Amino acid sequence: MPTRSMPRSTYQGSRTHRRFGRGRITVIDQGLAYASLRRAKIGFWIAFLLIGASTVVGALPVTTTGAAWLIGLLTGLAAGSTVFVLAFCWPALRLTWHWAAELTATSFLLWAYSVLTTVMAAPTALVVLLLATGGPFTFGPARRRLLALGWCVITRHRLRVCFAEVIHDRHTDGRLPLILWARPTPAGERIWVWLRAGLALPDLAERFEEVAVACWATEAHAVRSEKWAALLRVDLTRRNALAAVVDSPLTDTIPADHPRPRPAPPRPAFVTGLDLPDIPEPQAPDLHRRTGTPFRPAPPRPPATPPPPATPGDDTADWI
Amino acid sequence: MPAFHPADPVVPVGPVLSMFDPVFLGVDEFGLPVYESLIYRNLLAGGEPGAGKSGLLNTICAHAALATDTRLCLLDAKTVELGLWQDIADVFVGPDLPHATATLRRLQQVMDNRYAWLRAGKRRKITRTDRLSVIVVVVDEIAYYSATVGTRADQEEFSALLRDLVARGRACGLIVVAATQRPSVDIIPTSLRDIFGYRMAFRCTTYISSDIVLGHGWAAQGYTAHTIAATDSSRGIGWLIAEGGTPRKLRVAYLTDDQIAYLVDYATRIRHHLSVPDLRIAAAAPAAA
Repeated sequence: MPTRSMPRSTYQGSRTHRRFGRGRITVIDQGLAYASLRRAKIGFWIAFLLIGASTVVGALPVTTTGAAWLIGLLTGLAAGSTVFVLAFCWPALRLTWHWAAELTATSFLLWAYSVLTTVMAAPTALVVLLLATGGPFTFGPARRRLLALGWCVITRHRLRVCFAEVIHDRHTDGRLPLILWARPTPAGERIWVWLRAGLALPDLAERFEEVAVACWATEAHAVRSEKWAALLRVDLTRRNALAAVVDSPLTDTIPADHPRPRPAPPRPAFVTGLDLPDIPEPQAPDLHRRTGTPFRPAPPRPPATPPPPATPGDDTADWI
Repeated sequence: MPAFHPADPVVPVGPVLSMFDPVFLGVDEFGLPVYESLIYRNLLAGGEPGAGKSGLLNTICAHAALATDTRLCLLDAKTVELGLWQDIADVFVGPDLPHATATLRRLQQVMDNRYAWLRAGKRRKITRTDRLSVIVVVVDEIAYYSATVGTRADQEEFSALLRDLVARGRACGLIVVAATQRPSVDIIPTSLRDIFGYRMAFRCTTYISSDIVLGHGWAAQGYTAHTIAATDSSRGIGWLIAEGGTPRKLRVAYLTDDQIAYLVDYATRIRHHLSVPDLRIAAAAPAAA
């Protein structure tokens, strides 16, 4: 995957190029491979010396001097080799992690196809595989779940493109963040990102609109971990999760056998003065009375009009 | 009216909730549930009328009602916002400032006694195992008590008592949840407003009003409640900020009157055989810190 920050000439002649048709596609560019090799060599010698020397010092009291040096040499070589392989293969490992979902799904399909062809003809196996793959999409909840997971896969790639643009625009030598994992939320996706040296959350804070555009989302937000400044949680919103009324789960904690309360009859009303004409107009001295006293219901007094005849239904003259 | 089921020999086991557990408040903008622990904290909500403050208060009351280690102390000047919980509340105060002030004085006394008890046990705060009830004080429309009725001295006394409960009540299991339309300085003192650990801003008319609730400067960073649409579908949406955190947009849960009646009925049933914690026993043998 070529990066826009690398000169075009550096792609030519790389041993990591793979030929696809007529063109050449860079999987890991030459500069990155060279840097990985350099880091791997440094890591090898540091691990070799540290682990080897520590082993020699630890082995000397319990064995002969020659054996201790031999054990230290072998242990140091093993440790150094492990570090070398990890450091040298890190770009490939990162690339594998980036495409992990696609690689896993493809591997599973190929494995399933190979298993099916052992018990049935190839065309039949293909049809069975297609039905098994497409079947869940006909069932609503499964389809929604699969589509949500699909968006997570897409979002990881789109986010990586966006980060590459940010690094390119800032003309820094920062490396691409490691996009850890993504999971669906009711409103979109939540992605965890580990930033590398050269990039921080404030660099991205002004570009959330671009992140949302790049990921085909409505909004994008990011917050950093309380523990590590390098760990970001990016939330993408595709749907308005606040549009519906939220029910409290507390009502579900009530056992099903608990009876619903019967509608209680309204309590008899002892409050009158429910309309403005029921409240007498204040006398002249009261007009200048200081306000601010607590409200007290007016004492009962005979209604100005005779009450309506009693009816079986609710009557505001009798009930509140 | 809640049913007391006196003839029912079996009292169901409650949902084992406690005010020490996180309280479900609603869902955030990513559709994920929001649980916040209110123990050792206080909450202030502000916003326009009809913005969803009462929904928040009722959600917290619902948790407190089902938490059998909790006492509810409700102050509601309108009497109908929290009135449905009256049957399980230890104290319900309507539009009565002297009653409200007297209740806060009682709570202050309880607070002082609890701190004396903690000090005797060489402790600093109560825990779940102390058999002491958590007292949740819910105040709807603070402005009625602090700026509307009574004399200036009465209002200041109410504000001073409430500030004392908010400032000192955390460690002894006293949680204050208060709501007002605009917590400006003429409604509650700044010294009171700023010590609420949680603050939630529902829809406001201006970004200044939003900043008054959330704290100065959040509106400039995009966290402002005045951009919340003034529609029915936006009711209950607001910004919640916790101590030292970043505001989170969420929609609080809503309980219908029938659901509240159902919860009150059940809470009454599971609380029916509960005795008042014997503080003398607990005081004689305070748990080790």
